Amino acid sequence: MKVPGWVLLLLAVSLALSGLVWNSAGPSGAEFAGADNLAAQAAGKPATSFAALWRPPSPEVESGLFALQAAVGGLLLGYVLGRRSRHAS
Amino acid sequence: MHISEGFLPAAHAIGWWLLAAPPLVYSVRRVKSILESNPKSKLELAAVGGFAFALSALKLPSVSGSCSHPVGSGLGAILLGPACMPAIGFAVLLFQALLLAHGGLTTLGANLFSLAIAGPWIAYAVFRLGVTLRLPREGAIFAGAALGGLATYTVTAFQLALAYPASSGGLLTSFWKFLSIFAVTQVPLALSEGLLTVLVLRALEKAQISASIGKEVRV
Repeated sequence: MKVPGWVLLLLAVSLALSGLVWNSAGPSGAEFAGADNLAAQAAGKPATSFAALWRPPSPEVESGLFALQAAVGGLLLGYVLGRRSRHAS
Repeated sequence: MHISEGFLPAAHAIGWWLLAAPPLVYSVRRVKSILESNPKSKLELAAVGGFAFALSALKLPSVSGSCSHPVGSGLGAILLGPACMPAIGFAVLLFQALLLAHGGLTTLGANLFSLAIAGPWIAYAVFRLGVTLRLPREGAIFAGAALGGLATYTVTAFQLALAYPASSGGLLTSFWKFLSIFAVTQVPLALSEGLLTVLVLRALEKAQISASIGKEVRV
């Protein structure tokens, strides 16, 4: 019994979308803040004064760097799969 | 699952660093020896690293109304063995700590412990258990990757609870508080991660990279 790949992919995508759909159903006040930040807020004040050495100067720069990280990862994975498929065939 | 810079008391930060350092050193040596004994494994390693890099950059919305990201460490734990993962996790965490102010250097030891040590070992243990119980192999992979992802966040909640015990109720109350922030958010993401891990392993097998997942793994 092997579930077709497209079914797995569809499931994965709909799981990601379920959060958006679920929260748009009513006035839930969902802001989609990062769970890491929510945890930091729940903790309260930082325990030490040690701060990040460098922060992205704006959310735009930050999202760009996150995109870079995803792109590097995707490239690596894609390169491996593409290269091996060619050799295999 | 990143504990932000400065959010662990010095003693905790050092303690988690001390716990995470030996597995990190061991994994670097192990990755080296794997590469030397089998040059082809470079590709496996690149795929595992790429998957972890890409997934941990994807912040996804969840039913809880907040966002979080999968960890992508189950793939490597199942394909290469959990002992290899600290080196890869370290690369991901260092990138995010230095360039994105996501996580931090003082908290890197703690984050490494949850993401690259606890998570991968749980993923591997669940996968092996599934194989032993003769579950369908892809079912075991799915369960391993999903529970490994959840375990990472559970450990993070525990680390934060240790650092910030509730003034009334103490450690346990605090643990539930942090777990409730992470766990609900993470359940659908962990399931997605399990599905994606199955898909990527399938693709790798099709590309003849890993004919024997879990068989050659020695830990």
